[in-house]
Amino acid sequence: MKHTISLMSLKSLISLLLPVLFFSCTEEIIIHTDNSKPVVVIYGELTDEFTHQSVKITWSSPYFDNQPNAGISGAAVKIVSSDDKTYEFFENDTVPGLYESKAKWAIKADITYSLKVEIDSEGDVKTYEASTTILSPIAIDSIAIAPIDIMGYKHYAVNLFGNEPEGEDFYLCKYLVRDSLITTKISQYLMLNDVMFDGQYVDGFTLSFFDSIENWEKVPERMRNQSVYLSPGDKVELQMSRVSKGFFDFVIQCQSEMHGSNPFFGGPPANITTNISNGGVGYFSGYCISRAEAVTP
Amino acid sequence: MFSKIRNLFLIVFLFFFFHTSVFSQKSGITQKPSESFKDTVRLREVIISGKKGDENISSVNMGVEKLSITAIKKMPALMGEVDIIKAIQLLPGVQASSEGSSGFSVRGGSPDQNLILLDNTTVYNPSHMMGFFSIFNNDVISSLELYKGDIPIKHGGRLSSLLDVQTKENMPDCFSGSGGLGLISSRLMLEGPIGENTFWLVSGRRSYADLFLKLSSDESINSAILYFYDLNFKISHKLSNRDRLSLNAYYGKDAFGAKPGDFKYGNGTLSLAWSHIFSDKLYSKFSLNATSYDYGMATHLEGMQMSWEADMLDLMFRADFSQSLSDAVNLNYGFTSTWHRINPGLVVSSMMENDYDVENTFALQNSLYLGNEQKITDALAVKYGLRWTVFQNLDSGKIQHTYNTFEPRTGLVYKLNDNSSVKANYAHNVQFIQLANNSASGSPMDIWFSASPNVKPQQVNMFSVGYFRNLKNNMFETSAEIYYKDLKNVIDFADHAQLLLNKELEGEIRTGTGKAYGLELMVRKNTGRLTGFANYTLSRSERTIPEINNGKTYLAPYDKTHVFNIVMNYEISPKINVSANWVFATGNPTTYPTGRMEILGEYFPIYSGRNEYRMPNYDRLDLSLNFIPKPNSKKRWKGEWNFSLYNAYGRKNPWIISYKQEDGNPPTAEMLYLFSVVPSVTYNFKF
Repeated sequence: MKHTISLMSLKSLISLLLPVLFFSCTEEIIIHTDNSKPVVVIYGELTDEFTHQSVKITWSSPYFDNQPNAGISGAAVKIVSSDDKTYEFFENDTVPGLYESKAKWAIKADITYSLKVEIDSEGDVKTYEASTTILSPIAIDSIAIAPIDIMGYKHYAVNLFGNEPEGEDFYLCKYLVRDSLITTKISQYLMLNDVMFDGQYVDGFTLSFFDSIENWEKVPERMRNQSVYLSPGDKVELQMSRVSKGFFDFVIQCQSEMHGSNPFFGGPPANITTNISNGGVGYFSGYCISRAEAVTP
Repeated sequence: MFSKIRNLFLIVFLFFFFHTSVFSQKSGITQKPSESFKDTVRLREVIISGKKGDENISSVNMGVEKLSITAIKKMPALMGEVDIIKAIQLLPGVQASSEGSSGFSVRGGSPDQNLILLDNTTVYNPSHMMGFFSIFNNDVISSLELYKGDIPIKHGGRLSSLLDVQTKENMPDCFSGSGGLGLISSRLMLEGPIGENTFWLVSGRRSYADLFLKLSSDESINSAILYFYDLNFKISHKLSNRDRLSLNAYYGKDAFGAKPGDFKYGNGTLSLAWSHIFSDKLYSKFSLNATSYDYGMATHLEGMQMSWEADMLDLMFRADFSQSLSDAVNLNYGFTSTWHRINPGLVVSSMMENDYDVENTFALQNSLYLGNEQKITDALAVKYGLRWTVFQNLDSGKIQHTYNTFEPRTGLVYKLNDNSSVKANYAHNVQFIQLANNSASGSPMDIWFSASPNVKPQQVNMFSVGYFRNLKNNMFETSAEIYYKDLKNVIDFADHAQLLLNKELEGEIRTGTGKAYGLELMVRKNTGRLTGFANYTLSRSERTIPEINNGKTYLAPYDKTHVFNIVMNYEISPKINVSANWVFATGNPTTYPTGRMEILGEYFPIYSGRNEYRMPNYDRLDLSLNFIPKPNSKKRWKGEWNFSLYNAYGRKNPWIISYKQEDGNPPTAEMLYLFSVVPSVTYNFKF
């Protein structure tokens, strides 16, 4: 799948252009940096799906450390909503640092959820807080999948139909292909804003392209896993959510910073913004999901 | 490779569809002018024609670097493309903004702080092929001078430097031409007289990678667009012994893409100049100049057409006068008026009800200047001048806001003896329009923006002193210069700034102060079989902006502590000469991650401060050999071969350092280097 093109994609563009022009080469390099002091990383995405909501709490680690980041156990985690409900979270038995609500529940639009995390680090108790206000879901009329030939390669375009509300809005899009979520990582999230169609009826706006299975043989083997391939009859489900500008920026920044900066596009590296208080990093957000599906023709 | 190309074009195409977070007086007049124009000189040359061998010690100017086009042509060149900007990057205090780039930094300043003039007309983006080649066709260039801060009083508007490039002026006796066949491009220049008083020149250059791509049977390859071209045109007519009229034009374009979409950018300049001699003590030059820069993207798929166009246009009128009041007093005065229009971007799509239009901005920049260069004694000469600029933002033709600025500039030279001198200089420069670009090497998607009620003009006070000494009857020129620059209202951008298609661009701007200082040492050998120069620069450039790096001072992106350059040419015989360049530079400041956070199985960086680290040091050796098969041939056609090795010892200088994560494993660092050993061959000819 190739989706949301933005400044991020310009980086890709140049990264692809240069090898074409100059046969550039890459190789691993050892970089020596100081190691910053560990900070608390908190990440939670609440949704309106009736489920065990979760929050992950870990320590940051030196950038090139060989070990996965350590989870923070023993934290006190709870969420209080603006409609006066309290949700207690408990640490997962097998995954350190993963805190889940005891009962299943779903967030609601227009409600503010406030996260409070208390961590006792060698007797020093620190409290980290964040809150998110849930925006109402977007009404999607439908999506349609249309084959399109791009330079001799067959692709499928996913086109969106629906009314975009007036005002500045930001969207997160995820996909299920053949009932399997293919956008499980932040780097795979498709983020949109409405600058180009604010308050308009979105009439077939192309969100994403998928490769046709017909391209499988044409793509070099080492690159095959970079795409998602559709065959006729495959079901594609779009999950589209209206998200806050803060979360939108967070995801865009994560995607931008993940691989370092590019000398052509994007500015100097900078820390990813956060809504976690007291020196914590990460993000706490929530959103309602709107769904639409289509079958590959 | 093919797949990469396919992806490239796909991404060019995709780009359009998505989210829009996206989405001289020279060294002063020291010679009396001739009474009339001669066929072979123009006004400007009249002024400098008396360049003496010891000009570097006797001239009151400092920080001026001159390179002859002959010397530049002998230098090794990347892919055989002789490039004047690559040549000036070898001068002390000057450095490439990144490997292979046509952007350059002067004394720690950013590339947009350089005023680049082609026949007195501003060039906003001097690059082809994303910056890897410059727009200047060496066949049409006659001279270039770089002023590293001590900008002549007749010019202004940039903080760091003036690169003054002049095309050929000398009238040939008969129809003649020159050109070259290279690996990347070929070029042809033709010139000739029309009667006794008119001279014309036309030249063209085009790359041809795309022509080879058409040989491919793969549609994704053979439909590719990948080229640049440029055209120069000039006609000059002597109206009388006191009047000359000349028209200069340049147009160049770059394009890449394929059927689904393409990307283009280019410059155009046009100048019409009338030089008039009022008397043997007063000459003048009046000119109308226009310059434009534009870029655009377009997609062509049915039902998904979209275009993105951006451009800028300057129209300028200038009047320059030079007047000798006595043997010792030479005045320069004049007036310039420039109208700026900047169109940051217009997006039109078949899928959108309304166009997305970032409003044009308009500004008017008027300047008056007066300067004097005066010989006080045989040993002491001074220059002083003042430039007054009124910069006005315009809205619907009405003045919205006005800035008045004064730029005093002064300098002196004291000759210690016939072979040595000391110089001192002070210059105050102001910059009103600048580039909204926070990338390390610039990009063709340039958005310039002007000073406004919210964005104060950038200013610099530069002090410099120097010692100049020539040896062995001017065979060797040596110099040592020290400079200090104090910058005010210096511009940087907010973290994660969105600069393209941003209707509220000024919200991304952060301003503060900066300083830069350094020592530049230069030794140049001008004559003999071995010629060339060697230089060393020790420097530092810093910025302090409250909203950036938590208000702590950080290194400017182009800070380099040590830079060595050695450029040598040795004439083995009339048939063969060899050249070598060696460059060493401290690595550019950079920001490396010192920590990471793990989210959903991926790692994201945490930084402790901006530009705390440096890229690995840079070094490179280039070699070339010029072979002239028949140097004494009486035939009209003369050809020569140039064989070049860029990066002869294959140094892997990192261009990008990126971070790779595979299969959930912790990240590793990876460097991308552009060039290993790059051999090239070029055949040059003239007739």
